[in-house]
Amino acid sequence: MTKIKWLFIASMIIMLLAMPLFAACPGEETTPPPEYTLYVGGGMSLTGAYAEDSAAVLAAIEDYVQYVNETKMMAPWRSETFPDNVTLEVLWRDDELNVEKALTIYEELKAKGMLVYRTSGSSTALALMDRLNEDRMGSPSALVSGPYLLSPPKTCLTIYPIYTDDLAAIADWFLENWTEDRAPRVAYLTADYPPGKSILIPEMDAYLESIGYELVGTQLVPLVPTSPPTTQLLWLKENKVDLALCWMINPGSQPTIKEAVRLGMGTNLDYKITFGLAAPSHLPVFVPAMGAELSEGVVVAGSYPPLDDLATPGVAFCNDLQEMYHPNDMVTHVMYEAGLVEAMVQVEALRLAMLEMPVEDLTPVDVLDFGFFKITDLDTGGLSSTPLSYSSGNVEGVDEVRVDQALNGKIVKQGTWPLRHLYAQ
Amino acid sequence: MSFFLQLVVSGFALGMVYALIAIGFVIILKCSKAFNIAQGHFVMIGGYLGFTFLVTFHLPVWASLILAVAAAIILGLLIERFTLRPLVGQPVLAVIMMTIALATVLEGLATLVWGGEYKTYHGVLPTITLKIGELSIPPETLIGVMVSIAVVTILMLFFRYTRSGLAMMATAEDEQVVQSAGIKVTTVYALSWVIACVVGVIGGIILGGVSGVMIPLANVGLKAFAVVLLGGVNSIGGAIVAGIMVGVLENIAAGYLDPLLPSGGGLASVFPFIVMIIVLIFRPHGLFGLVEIERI
Amino acid sequence: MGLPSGTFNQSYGQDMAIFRTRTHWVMLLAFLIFLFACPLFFSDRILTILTIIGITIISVHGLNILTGYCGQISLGHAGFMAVGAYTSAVLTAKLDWSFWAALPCAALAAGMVGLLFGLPSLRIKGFYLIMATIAAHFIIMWVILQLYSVTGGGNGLAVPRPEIGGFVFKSKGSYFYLVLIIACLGTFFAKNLVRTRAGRAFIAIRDNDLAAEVMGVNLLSYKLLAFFIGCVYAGVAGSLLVHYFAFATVDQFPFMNSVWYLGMLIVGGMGSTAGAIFGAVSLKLLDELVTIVGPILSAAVAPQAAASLGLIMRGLVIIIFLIFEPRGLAHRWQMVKAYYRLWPFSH
Repeated sequence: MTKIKWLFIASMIIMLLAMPLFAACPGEETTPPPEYTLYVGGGMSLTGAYAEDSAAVLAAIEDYVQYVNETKMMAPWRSETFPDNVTLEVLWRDDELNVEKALTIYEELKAKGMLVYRTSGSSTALALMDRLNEDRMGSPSALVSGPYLLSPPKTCLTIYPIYTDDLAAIADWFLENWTEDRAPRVAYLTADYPPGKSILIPEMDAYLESIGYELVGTQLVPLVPTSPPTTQLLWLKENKVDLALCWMINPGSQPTIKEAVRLGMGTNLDYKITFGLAAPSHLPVFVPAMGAELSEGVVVAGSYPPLDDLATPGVAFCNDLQEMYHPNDMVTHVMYEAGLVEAMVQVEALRLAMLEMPVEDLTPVDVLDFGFFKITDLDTGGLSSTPLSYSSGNVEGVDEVRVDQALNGKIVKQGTWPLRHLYAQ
Repeated sequence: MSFFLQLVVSGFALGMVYALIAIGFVIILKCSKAFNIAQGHFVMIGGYLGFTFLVTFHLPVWASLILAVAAAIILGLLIERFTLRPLVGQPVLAVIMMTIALATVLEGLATLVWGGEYKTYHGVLPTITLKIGELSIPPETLIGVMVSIAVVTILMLFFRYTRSGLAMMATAEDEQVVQSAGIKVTTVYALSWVIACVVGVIGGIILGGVSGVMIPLANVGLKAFAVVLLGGVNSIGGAIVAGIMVGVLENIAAGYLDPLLPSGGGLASVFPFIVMIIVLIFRPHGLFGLVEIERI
Repeated sequence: MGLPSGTFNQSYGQDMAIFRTRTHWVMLLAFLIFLFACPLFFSDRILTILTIIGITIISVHGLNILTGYCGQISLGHAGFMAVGAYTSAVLTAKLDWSFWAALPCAALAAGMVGLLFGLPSLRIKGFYLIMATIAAHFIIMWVILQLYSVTGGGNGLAVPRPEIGGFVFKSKGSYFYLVLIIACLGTFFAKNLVRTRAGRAFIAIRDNDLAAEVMGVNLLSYKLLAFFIGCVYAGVAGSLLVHYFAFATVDQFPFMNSVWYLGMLIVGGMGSTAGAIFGAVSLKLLDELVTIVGPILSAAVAPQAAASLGLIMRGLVIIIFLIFEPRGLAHRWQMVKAYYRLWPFSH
């Protein structure tokens, strides 16, 4: 018993010792060093369904910050430079996609002097949206892009088009290639998860019907299916659906499409159907994992160019950064590009704000008004479908949606379609 | 009609997966009266082990299976020795909380070792595709059926004819009597955890080949509890029958009722839980379980 | 045990008193004054943590009454919180009710849903009841997501902040006071509830339900009462949580939260009001510690080390408590108090 007793006394002492850690943290940053330090980053979700996306985003942000610190350049293709007396630092915490943790982490990082703050995923963004707006904290996030961000637009900025606009672009693309006389039949096949359900809004239905679709219904698939969603796919077949609009992450889309191919459903198979996925599915991840046969004909809107497309300056930049900083540990996930764009937006906002205000007086409001909302045509080197622009009320950075299709194991860009701004009013 | 039949067939496939998980659960419950919430996590670990041996090390399927089973045996022994044995004689809640904590630690360890990425091994496992008329039978059904039948047969023979199997059956009946008869109960407990781990890991490898592996794969365990309850918590045969029933009913409900519901339905995800509540209200001991009689 | 030497209980009232001596009252008052003075010297961040801990304490009190005292194990507590949360959110956001009217309704709604899912508890217990409450969680969440037109489904619902006579509980400090007062009331009620006839009936049911029934305790009504009270607490906590965020989403009530609430009871000590508080505080602080250590560990080892740290730590803490101190911190606290009271003569 005495051993246990000591064990407990020891653990109590450790807990007590840990307490001052919390108290000490906010006070640390009161005296700014002669060289100014600005923070980028925010909440990450390294635990949970978005773990692999988050890890890639984090790597990109860290690499980009190191690049800016070392070269004081914004990007190889840009002439603007970052102020010499300001060093950037990445601050992040893992919130495990837990909203209570996300809130305390936000308060902590805000107290440390963050002027920009990223949210880690849809659930944390939803919970923090009003806080961020109250504090006028600009919040670009590569992992959040639901229609809820626009009703009404606040301070959460999207890096890629919102999911409903992605799907609308796919619907537009599909209609252009539609040759039969009858109206095409469309259904939603989406993840049984809040962001997946966020696309099911009346505005989306109305848009599809207005451009001549016949809306059939909705089928839900688990976010990470533990068995193939045969029932849902058979339902699509039974109801003669021509286009399935999906919100899925890769762990959901891969088993689903695999099962569809097995059931003979696909663009070139017995039963003709096209699967159109919104951005959190990425063909650069999907195609290599599935192979040419299983991925044939799958369409993704709002995603990024593949990481081997080195002709695109942005992708080449991704490659150079990784070669430079961690050549033995290359991140091959396409969300690295998203993270890079996000880091560029955060740093650009800080740079623009510093042109208007002295760095020591900057507040989140200044960074929002003089930074984020002054970003016009930010060239991302072709990583996003169009250059990014934000202003008060316009939180959707891009103006057009890029649509890609997997054909013969290759990712073929189909073009870009304008945004339809579909969100719940 | 073919829609209906196809639903039944794919429900069958799903049911086999549920049954495999449920069997592991029932074995532990039968022998040591511990409710193992972490059974789904054994499945997840199995999927990751499959990925490691099949993809990272490029081993053939048989070697991967042997190695995975070996790893499962070690895992089962460690878990029993260090977490469950100190709790012998503690109330139900302590044991359940322990398995929940165990589930969390396993989840953390899996993240540490394999990362949060989605791992797949499409097309590495042998597939058997069968087509009867319009119906195409999913390969995992056939593999699932075969593995389940094999596992159940081995277990039945084991329980009936081997010394340790008989000891396990007896322990399930009354552990104090068994102890006085000279059977080491701790060995029996350890054995039951090992068997549950092995069954879970085998299920995980099959499931991983079908839908890939990721941490949320462990959630399949929660749904399998409906199967356990319906079959009766101490009946292995019941787990299989109930697995198929729940799988098929879930698919039929999703196929026919979902379109009637607003915002997409998604009945499949909640159906096993509705089954659970109904079973608990009307027949708590399940279809094939024993009614427990309590005395003061 | 527990009284300074020379103090003797001479009446039943004295025997039952929680605060027996003047020192007890002084210490209680000092502690309360310290709590109410928190916003004066703590930053927004600490206040946020304290507010969330306060809300958690309210919820864990409910679970403690249900599980710790009455022995009805529930893993659906987060689901019951969601019921209260959404009731309050819909009433205030869609029907423009005041928060003060919506809060009791939220509590009542959660209690009613608790009664509904508590009904099977007469026939089942232990593991079976856990299963029923797990099922309750997922069914509740499914229903909330289904009712898109009412709850906003996956898009959530913006919720107004509580206000009283024009004063809006918007700042961290003001909301902290709101939560603190409700948490104190909740603690007071919980502590006293278990000393009533109902509380003694709960304990009898927990220790042996068949024996309790033989002694004349009506099992069904007391089990349902425990479910109702436990879920009322959950409803209040849920309502406070969504009004704090000013937004309601289903992700605020993940299934794992129910598990951690039970974990808090284990760490703190089952069947003890102080235990619920100890548990909630210590596990929440552990969370914060993990959050701070995470990035450091990630830089030193690997990114996924940060991700796995929280899971492994929480799991290990519960395992260690189950094996080495099943009676929780509350028991340890009693031992420490007794030790100092008797020092230097420890026998």
